[in-house]
Amino acid sequence: MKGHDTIREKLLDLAYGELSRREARTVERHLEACQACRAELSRIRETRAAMSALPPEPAPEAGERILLAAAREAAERVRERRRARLLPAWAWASSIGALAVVAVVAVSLRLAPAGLDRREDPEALLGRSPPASAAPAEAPSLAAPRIEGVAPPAGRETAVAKRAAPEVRQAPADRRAAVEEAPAAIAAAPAPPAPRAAAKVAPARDAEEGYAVAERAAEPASLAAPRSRAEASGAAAERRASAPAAAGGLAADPVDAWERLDAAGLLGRSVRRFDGCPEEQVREIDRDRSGRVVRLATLRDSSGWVEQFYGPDGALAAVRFGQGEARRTVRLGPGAPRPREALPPGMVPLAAAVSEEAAPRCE
Amino acid sequence: MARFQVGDARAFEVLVRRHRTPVFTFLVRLVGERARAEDLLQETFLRVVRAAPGWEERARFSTWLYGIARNLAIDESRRAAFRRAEPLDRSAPGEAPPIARLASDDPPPDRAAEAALLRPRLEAALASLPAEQREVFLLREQAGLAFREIAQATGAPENTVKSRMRYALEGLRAALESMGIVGGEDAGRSTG
Repeated sequence: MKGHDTIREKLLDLAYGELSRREARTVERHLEACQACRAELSRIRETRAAMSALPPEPAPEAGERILLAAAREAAERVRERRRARLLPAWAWASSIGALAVVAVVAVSLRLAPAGLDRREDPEALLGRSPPASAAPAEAPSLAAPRIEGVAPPAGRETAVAKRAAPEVRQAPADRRAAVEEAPAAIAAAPAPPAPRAAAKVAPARDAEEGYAVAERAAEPASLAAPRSRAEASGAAAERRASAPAAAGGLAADPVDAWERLDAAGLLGRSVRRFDGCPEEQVREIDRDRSGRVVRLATLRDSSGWVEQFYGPDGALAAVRFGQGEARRTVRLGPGAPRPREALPPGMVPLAAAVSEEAAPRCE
Repeated sequence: MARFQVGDARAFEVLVRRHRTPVFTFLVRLVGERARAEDLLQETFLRVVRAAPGWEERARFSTWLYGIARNLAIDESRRAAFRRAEPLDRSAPGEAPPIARLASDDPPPDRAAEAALLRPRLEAALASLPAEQREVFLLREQAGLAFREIAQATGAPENTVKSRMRYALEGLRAALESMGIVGGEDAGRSTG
């Protein structure tokens, strides 16, 4: 057994439960034989018990509000910095461009007469056809909108706009879309009245930006309706101003959908941090109000932020990845061109497999 | 804290709600004045907000938090001492500790009054300790930091921390005995 003085040194640790089980047993054996140590331990415990009658001092309420306000402000700054990191300037321009297209189409959908000339050309919806000026109402199922909660605009014409079109104008004379066709692609839209939708879409620059662009169904009027014509023309103006950076996403794009939900504060975000895990340092999962996973973002050593966007069907619909300004967005799914570059490894193809509890991907 | 670092303000709210009163209790009893403790409490959490981007999980959050609080308290105490020539340690040599005044009170109060008086007596006993002993006692008893964590928070060796704790307990014992709150030489009587 250790000496009395050595054991006595341990009485404090014993009283506070900071000894290992083995050490505690050694001290307790000594206590059985040592009256002085028993008395000292008893004094420590009695003093602690007496002092434990001191109640806590409740902190004043007013200060808490100030602190929480400061924290919200700081958190917002963090989010802004991260957003800026995640969305380089061309991506913002793309979003604005997408809104312009959405607005044009929405106005046209609302205002186009029901009996307007229709051309049955389902292929046009997928962008595989030669230039066409209008698409049939039955076609939306082929190019289903990917935005949740959106009903196809029954009885109205669905438009397909293709971003590769150099310019879209409307024809004032017959209230139909007049499309100035690009050599390779076409944007087709029912015609809104001329004064109400004079948006022009600047030439896209897929090749310059090097990311794959999928043709997508135009956003139905039910979602796009709240956007005013003024917004539409303003967005179009901004888009013209920012050309050639206006490789605009289209209405039903999952990235655009996520950004709208995020900007509107309609997403719930869970964040997990995995220290010592270079290939998944942070995992963010964004869900909409129905609990559907909209976005999974992971921070990796090898490829920076990798964001996976999911459509309403729960399938992986777009991936955005890269670091700094060198970010790429790849659209997936029906109608999307084959990606021109390899996706980062470890993609999660189905939203159902996205989980906060899943083991981190550490390599 | 990791969640707050990536912009989740609600995570900070949880931290504030969990730690605010314990840190305030620590500060009130360390510096002995509510108003000063309130200022220090605010400054402590504002420091946390500002330092959050660079925070790394090297130790428990509470160890880091109390380290900030005690450093601010010490800095503020030095400034206050300079302004008022009144050090944080109010039981400096030559000055009668508040406990001595309370201990000489008479006649003995009845039981209810005694209970009402217990809290200020305990506070006075605590206040009678030198600041470094009081600090260690509060960090161990109220903040719940282990001796090793107190060493991290205060920058003192762990053995020094334990020595201060022993002196703190002996000093409190003596003060409580002088007030009749705990027994004399032979321990065993109940606490008041």
